[in-house]
Amino acid sequence: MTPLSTATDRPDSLLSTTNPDLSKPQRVGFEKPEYLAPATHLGPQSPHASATSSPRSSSRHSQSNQEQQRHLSSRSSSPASAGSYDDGPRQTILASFAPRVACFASEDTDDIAKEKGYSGGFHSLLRPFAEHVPGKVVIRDSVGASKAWEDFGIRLIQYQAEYRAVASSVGPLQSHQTDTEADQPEQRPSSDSPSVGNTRGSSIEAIIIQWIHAAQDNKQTPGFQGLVDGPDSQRPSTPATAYLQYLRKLLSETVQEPYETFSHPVACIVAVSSRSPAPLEKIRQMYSYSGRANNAIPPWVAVDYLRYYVLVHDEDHDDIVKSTALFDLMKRHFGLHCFLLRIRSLPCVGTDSEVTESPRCHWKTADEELSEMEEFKRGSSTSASQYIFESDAVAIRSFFREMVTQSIIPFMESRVVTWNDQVASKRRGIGGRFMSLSKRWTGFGSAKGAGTATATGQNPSNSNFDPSRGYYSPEAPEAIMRQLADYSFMLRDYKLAFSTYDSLRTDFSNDKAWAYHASANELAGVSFLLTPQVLSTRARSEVVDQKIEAALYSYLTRCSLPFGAIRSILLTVELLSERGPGAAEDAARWAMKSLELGILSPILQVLMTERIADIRNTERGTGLLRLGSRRRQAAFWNTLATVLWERLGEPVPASSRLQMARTVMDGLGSQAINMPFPTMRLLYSKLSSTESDLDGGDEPLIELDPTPPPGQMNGTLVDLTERPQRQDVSEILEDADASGFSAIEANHPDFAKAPLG
Amino acid sequence: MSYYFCIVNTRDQPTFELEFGTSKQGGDGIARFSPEARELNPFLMHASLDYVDDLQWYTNQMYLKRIDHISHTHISAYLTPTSTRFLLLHLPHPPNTAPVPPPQSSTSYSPYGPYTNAFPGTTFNPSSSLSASASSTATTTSSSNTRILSSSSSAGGGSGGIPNNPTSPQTEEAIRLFFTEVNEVWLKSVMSPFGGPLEKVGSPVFRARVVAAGRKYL
Repeated sequence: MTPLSTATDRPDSLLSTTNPDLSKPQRVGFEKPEYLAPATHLGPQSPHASATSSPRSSSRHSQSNQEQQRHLSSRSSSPASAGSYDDGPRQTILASFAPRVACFASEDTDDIAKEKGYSGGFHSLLRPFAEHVPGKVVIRDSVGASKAWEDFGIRLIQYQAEYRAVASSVGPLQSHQTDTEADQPEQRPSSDSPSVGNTRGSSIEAIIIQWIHAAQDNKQTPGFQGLVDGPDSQRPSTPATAYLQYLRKLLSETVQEPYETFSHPVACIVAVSSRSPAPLEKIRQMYSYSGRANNAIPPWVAVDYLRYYVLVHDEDHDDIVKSTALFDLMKRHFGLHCFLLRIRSLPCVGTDSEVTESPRCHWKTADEELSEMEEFKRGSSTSASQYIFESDAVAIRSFFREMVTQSIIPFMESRVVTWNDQVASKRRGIGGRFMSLSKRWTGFGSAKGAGTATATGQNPSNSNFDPSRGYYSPEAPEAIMRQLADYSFMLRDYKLAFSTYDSLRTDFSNDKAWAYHASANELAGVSFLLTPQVLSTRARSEVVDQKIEAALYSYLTRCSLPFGAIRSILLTVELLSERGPGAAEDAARWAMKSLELGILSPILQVLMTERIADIRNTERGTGLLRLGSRRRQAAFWNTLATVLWERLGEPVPASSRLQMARTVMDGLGSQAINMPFPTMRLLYSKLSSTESDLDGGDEPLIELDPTPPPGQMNGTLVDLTERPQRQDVSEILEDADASGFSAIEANHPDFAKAPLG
Repeated sequence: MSYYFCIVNTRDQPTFELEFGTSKQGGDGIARFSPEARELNPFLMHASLDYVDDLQWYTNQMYLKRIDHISHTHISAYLTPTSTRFLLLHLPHPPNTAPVPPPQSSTSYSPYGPYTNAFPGTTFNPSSSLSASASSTATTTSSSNTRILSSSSSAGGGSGGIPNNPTSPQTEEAIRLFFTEVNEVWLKSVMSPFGGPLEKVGSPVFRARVVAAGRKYL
């Protein structure tokens, strides 16, 4: 493939993923990647896998109807499901806000997984399967309308590791959002929270740089199976996908914060195995440990999440009759949220029959990915891909399907309904307004959590927010409302989420809970953008702009949480950029604003510049006059991206950007001749010469066409490259200053033939 | 302030280019663009033509005011009745101080270098916002922060010159006067039988008159 053709192909491929068609129902847009998903990285076993649809465990349960079987078997043969690397930004964003489910496994359960070759224990065995629930998941929203989603998934977090990690981070979180600091910024302990941002940001950067280099190596040696895990076709080959990777990694971060409950567990899987001598006692023990008894759970996390009990049966060593009896006992003791998972404990190698490649985790955090790469480089992990028995894969998939559709979704739905009735509607109604008014002005109203606060005497404003500790207790109505909003967001009921976030904003700002305020503003804007409705200019400026603006201000100046600011800008840009030309203009404006805020790291600056270039490129204008066309802007931003890549010392992405810039410049066509300004040509020739130096000089990066079309600048360009290449621009300009013309301008064919005035 | 003035004909070609600096507040009238900025300025000008083409249908004024900005580089535009565009790029920096040369910013670009600066704790970091700005303009301007910017403008505004604030009404007015004067001179120049609106304006007299207008108003 010649470089020129890759450059021309790319804008179109980008366009096809970001589907701007709003008239279609939303779901159609989500199914699209399924059709488009290339079948290139299916394993050789895939036809075999679809033929053997004989799941053992699921036939035992009532849910295993034919429909589900079909789904499971078809899904098992297509790892390129929704949530894969090929998705567009909108799919990525939708999938990123998935319910978190903690996995709490007993030691003997972990041992089974370790015997199978999963060194991370039971959690690492299940995790890749959790990211996509096979088949359609039907969710009912607050008005009772059902909607089926193809790409629903959950994220599995490891219970023990999670809460050990969080316990240590409680300190900084307490400190940075008291209201006195908001007024006196010099007292802000700025060393804590930015360091969180730093570590997150830098590990993402490291990943992106690795990726770019891997793509580079890939280009040079086509058959290279890389060091980054993931099949070859999923590797980014263009910087535009590097941007999508960044977005995905940014959204994969699962650090727990008090001010948003997305990362708080919705449910907890309590897993014991058939090897356990006393499984029921073990479950009881683990149950009590999963509540407040565990001191590691931070006080802002609500612990009334769903518990789901799993009995892992070892097919190779244990007796199924015994396990079934035990499972019946479990059901009697712990209710309906139980599952008997039958897996084999023998390790599995790729040469066995009836094996399938274990699916990959698409939502690893950057740190996990980095440590994995390190391990791979050290050679401790033998192969990038892991194999699993076909029967195990089917069992685990049907486990997740049943858990999500039968337990987690109904649990979340009922929570949303309850909270909406009991907490949110009270506050929304006239009485709630009166209460909050009286609370604010007279100080005599009281809410549930106010008693403890006044008792300690730290909270004169009578709000539920505790400024000294920096969070709401999980029982406070505000915290419950926030959880309601987050639940409905995760269930993709964006209308309810928007109205809840919107009503929360004022509460948080009255309480001076700025991190909460920022996050509520951000998500109000995002959920508004996700609502499937026509986005008018007025709504854009009044709702989205205002909220994101407020979120940015709160994140940056009041709490110094640059991570949140970056996330809100990236989400806004992506969601706006696919909503038509006017919104794309706004998207570009936000992206430019993010560059000006000075919160982006160098590599993200370049990625953002590229993103602006791509957005500008999509704005082709309307009508005969091409009103609203931004082609010249696209040319500028592409050039700028080239320059910035060059400065970062990354010649390969720079050269591909230069190609795009050339293409856009050539495409200006009737509006202008190519590169009208003389110094433009100079910069281009300079760029292309340095690129060919860096690239080994085997191929020219700008195709210098031997037969230039009439009226084009290529002839002049050749002249320029033959000159001493590092001719300074200032020389040219001084030349121009002296005589009114530079020597190059005189060579310009259009001017050369015209008499000069 | 450093200025880069450009007359663009209807085919998007520049027919006249001039760089100059401010002469107010003791400025010496010499432009202080960094080398990178000089390379990218034409692209910026060219890109802002997109906005001119849009704006011309929405206003009946010839002076389109400030149409575009990328970080601290601002572009004002003026549209003649024959659709010839006058563009003025202005970059504020403290008078009579040369910008700190950008090598310092280029080191911060090194990919494995100071990532500690990646997510700076201070919310508005002037130097990083400038390196972010793709226009790669000169690094120093203290005016990256709006608060600083307004304070400096209030300080400079007292002395009667153009404040160092490209968004202020005084600057806007000064640029309008500059454009109007240039328009007069330019009209006379294109009426020459040897030239036309599409041709280069090479007359040294014209150049001198534009420089004089710049000295007078900017």
